[in-house]
Amino acid sequence: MSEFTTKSFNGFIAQGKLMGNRCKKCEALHIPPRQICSKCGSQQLEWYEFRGDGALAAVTVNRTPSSGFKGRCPYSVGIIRLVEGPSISGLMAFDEPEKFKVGTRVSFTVVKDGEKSILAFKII
Amino acid sequence: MGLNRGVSIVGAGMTRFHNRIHMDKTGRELFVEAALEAADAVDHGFRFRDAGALFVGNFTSEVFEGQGHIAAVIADWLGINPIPAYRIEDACASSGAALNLGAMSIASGMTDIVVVGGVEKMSRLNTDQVTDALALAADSSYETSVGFTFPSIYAAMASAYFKKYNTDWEQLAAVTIKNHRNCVLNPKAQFQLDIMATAQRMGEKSGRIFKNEMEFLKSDLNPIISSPLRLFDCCPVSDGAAAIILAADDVAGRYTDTPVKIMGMGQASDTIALHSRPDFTTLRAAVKAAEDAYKMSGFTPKNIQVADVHDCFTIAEIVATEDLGFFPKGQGGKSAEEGRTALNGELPINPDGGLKAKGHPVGATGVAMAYEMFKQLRGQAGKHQVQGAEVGLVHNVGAAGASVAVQVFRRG
Repeated sequence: MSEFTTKSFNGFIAQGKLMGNRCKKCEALHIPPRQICSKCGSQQLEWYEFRGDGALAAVTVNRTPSSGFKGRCPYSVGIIRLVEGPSISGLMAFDEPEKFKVGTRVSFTVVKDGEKSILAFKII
Repeated sequence: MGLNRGVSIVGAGMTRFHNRIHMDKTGRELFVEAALEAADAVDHGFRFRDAGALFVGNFTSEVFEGQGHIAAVIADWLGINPIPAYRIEDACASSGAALNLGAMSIASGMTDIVVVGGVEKMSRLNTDQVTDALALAADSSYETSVGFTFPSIYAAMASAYFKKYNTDWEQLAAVTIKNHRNCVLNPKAQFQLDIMATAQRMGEKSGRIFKNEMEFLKSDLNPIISSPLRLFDCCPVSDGAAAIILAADDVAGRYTDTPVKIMGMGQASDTIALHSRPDFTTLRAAVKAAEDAYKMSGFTPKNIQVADVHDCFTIAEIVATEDLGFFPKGQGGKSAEEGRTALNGELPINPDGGLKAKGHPVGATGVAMAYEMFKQLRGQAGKHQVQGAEVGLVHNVGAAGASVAVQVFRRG
């Protein structure tokens, strides 16, 4: 199996998989994957595929983007509390940005940006 | 835990914070100006050669002005080689962290006197470039990569706060209005207009008259940056430097009869990404750093008579006043609306105008807050003096709370 790196995580995103890891000792889930369990300190970790469903816990419509997101402006970006518990940041896609509110139920998707695959979520 | 040897501030100086007036100066030059003012502020006189070490807080002089190794550059320009020169980087908490380390170096016995300062020269870049530079303080791999910027992370925090406490943007506006009222009284502040005067000036240009502050703040002249945060919810881009001189309590008497003593200090870290935390409406590192600082000082939040908190965005001030124990959770915004944090309120917060209106040259901010306490607790803060203040606190946050430095001071 691949190492727990940003490169591996992004490789899975490109394949449409939302992968984190699970601590074999304390069963804590991590996304993105970590090298050391932040709950118990164990290095005994295994890949874990998240379902990709969750609800928005924090969200904003950004009108002053960083240079890589200029073409998308305005766009919604937020933090999704996944059904398994952990949260992850993502771009909100395929709907008007104002439709994404705290509490909106969303699911994992991928937005292609040239060579890059951006971790994104769409309204269920 | 505590310092084995007491440490006090015996001198403090800062440049004015501004986005234009320092355009033709480099960071090192700004730092030297601040340090010279700090030396001049030492009552019985001070020579830089008395210092045993230099600690410089700076976020990213590499990106902002194409100069790395900034502490060595500054030691050279202060003419204090060969003393050790350390650069500390904790994003916007860089100089708050430098202050803690400077105090620890004295407490360790390695030296009696240190110069601690911070500097950031941001105006050479345009706004888009500054947005990219500041985003480096967030998680580049997992936040910036999906479209988060620094303002949008705090905006997301505000969305969670509004939902949890069933409140809205108008509470944020109360912070803007209050901090702009204060900046008018501080000649070092970048902005010198309160919101009503700003509304009049900006209204004149477009032939409009605003009846009150809220009408202006809700207008298109205060555009949304990242909802719910508007332009006047965000601190400006600033150039500036601040410096203080720290002395061991056992030698401080050589320099002044009224030192400002570090009673307590704390520093804590948290996950780099906001999404890794269980609650987006509090900064755990601020709570921990404050807890440690209070414990060391023997004071509680009730003893604090003036505080400078890290209001890089208005929501941050509201969260800070709760994290520091000044107000219950969910009550920070209401307290600002009710005037409790105003200059004449029960606990004046950011009497200098805060990052919002004084300006925020990121690496300089933590020491600029200590400068403010030096002035306030010695009764030298001029028009924005908090009458009779003897105990003060500063709260300096790196990015979205992954680093936080807190200090509690008392007039010596």
